[in-house]
Amino acid sequence: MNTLRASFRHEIISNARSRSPQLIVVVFLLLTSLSSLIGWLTVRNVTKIYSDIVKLGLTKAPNPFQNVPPLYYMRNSVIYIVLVGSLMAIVLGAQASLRDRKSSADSLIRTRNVKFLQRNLGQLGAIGAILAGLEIAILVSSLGTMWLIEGVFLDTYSLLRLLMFGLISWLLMLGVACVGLVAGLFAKSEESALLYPIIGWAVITFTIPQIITSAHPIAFLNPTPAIPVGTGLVQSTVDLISPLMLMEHFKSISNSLLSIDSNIPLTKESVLSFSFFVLIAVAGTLVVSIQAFGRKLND
Amino acid sequence: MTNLFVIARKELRDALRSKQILLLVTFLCVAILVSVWVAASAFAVKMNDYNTYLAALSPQLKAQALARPQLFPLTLLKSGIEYLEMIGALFAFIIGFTSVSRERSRGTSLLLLSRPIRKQDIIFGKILGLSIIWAGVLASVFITSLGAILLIGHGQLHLIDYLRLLIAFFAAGVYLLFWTIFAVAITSRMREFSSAILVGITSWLIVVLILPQIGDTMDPDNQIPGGLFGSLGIIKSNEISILSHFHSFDVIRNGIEVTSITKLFERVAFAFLGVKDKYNQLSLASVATALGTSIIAILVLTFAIGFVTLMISNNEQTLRRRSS
Repeated sequence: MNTLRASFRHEIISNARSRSPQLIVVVFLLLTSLSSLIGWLTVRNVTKIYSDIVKLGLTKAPNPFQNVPPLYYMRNSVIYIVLVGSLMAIVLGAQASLRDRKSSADSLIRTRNVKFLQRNLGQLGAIGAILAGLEIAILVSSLGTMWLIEGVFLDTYSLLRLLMFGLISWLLMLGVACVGLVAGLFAKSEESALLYPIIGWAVITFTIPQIITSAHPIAFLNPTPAIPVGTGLVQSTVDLISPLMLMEHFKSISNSLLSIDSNIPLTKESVLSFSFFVLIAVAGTLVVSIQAFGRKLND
Repeated sequence: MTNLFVIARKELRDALRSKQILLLVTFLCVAILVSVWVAASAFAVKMNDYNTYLAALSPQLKAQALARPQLFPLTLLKSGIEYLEMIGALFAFIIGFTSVSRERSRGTSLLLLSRPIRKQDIIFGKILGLSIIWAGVLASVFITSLGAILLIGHGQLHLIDYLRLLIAFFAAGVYLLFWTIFAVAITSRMREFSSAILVGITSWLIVVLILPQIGDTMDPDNQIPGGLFGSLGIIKSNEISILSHFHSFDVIRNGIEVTSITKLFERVAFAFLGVKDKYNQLSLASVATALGTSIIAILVLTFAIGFVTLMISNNEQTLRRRSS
């Protein structure tokens, strides 16, 4: 138990001392905090435009933003978690495993009576705690912004949905941090430990969804998920690779929780693929990190 | 002058030996092939729908049928350009980063400084080498794009289309060179490689993904599927008249977008390729006039980052840094 606690504390202290990842953390916190404000400004502008159209007698259609749920304003947070949160998680994960390799502390650890499962659990737990702390900060600032915008606190139902969104965002970042951690264990250099998972992230976020949905890459910067369509490819190939659309599955679950677009249903496939990724990422990292511990950096 | 070419040649040789360039060319070519295929399939579906619709019409109504969908072959490259602006920029950063980190970790930067070579020659030689690398990469992507349009998209190209494509790729070359030189500047300036990567990746995130995303989010017409005005059945002239009352909001939105070189490049490339409807089939001179400010801004930003890099590299202490 001592190993777990020591490893947890070491990881937290090391992250607090390391200045490099703090830039991306600041950008992440700033953007996600501002996202509700950007969403509100846009909705307000559209409503004003709609009022002008009605005044001119050009439409009788209802306001498309009439009675938007309060959580709708958080829609941009979804994409910031996919873009900035994931990259931040890769950096945190990769730095965690690279730190020991760079300082050769791994050789020292091997000379001690250390239970590696406990050590790795402590390290992963600390990364999880850091990500949870950031997620709580985002939720609190979003709650504050929505209170300022709407003038009332969220009802219990919306609050629960917001907490659920926070939970799945945390799970996504934790899973991605595991990928970064594994990359940091195996990479020959510090650069490749960061670059290869980032390239993998780009492929999963843009290329694979494009093959499946036929949407343009820029469309994946939208907080709502793209809908899979027949592209002429053999359907079985599409079915085979669609679980890899991890970010689209995350967007799909978030869309449902934040009630962004009620026309897009949440599928069982999205929930299963997402859960499977998180499970495999965490369990796989614990197993692999025991096996690969102590590999030398070869610049 | 000879030193400059020697350094440029070494840069080229290193790049050819590295797997990065091969990975980059492969990724971009595959992405272009996939995206042209996806776009061509979407057009084929549209044509099939149209033919079904036409077949369902009685001979009398056929004369009043909707116009047949038209394929503008260069528009098949829309996704390809988006890949260049997003993933291309990321690779451009990586290539610039590696160009400096390799010298520092091997200690060859110290060796260069011990020789009678001007510091400017080192950096100009690097930039020249990197420019040639980008010319080579883009030439491969250009040929792949042409092949994809002709063979996968079954599009027919005229001389003017080749010119449009060349201009779009020239803009892509300048844009990617911007990111490579930016990486050279950051990596030379930063003491630790990981800090250079983090600063670079964060800048890439903000400039390439976040600023354009905020701009898009603030566009009122992007809020609803099919567009706000389209869904409310508002005609273009009324839309323009209504939006004129929201000028300040649009100035802020546009201001956010144009702070991103990525958005500037996208506007130029999409205009010359005719992806943006209002520029489709316009003469090259008209497109160049309409996009003049964006073209100048891309060139100015690239020269500015080049100048900053030169200033950083003139500092001998910076050049003497070893890997850390």
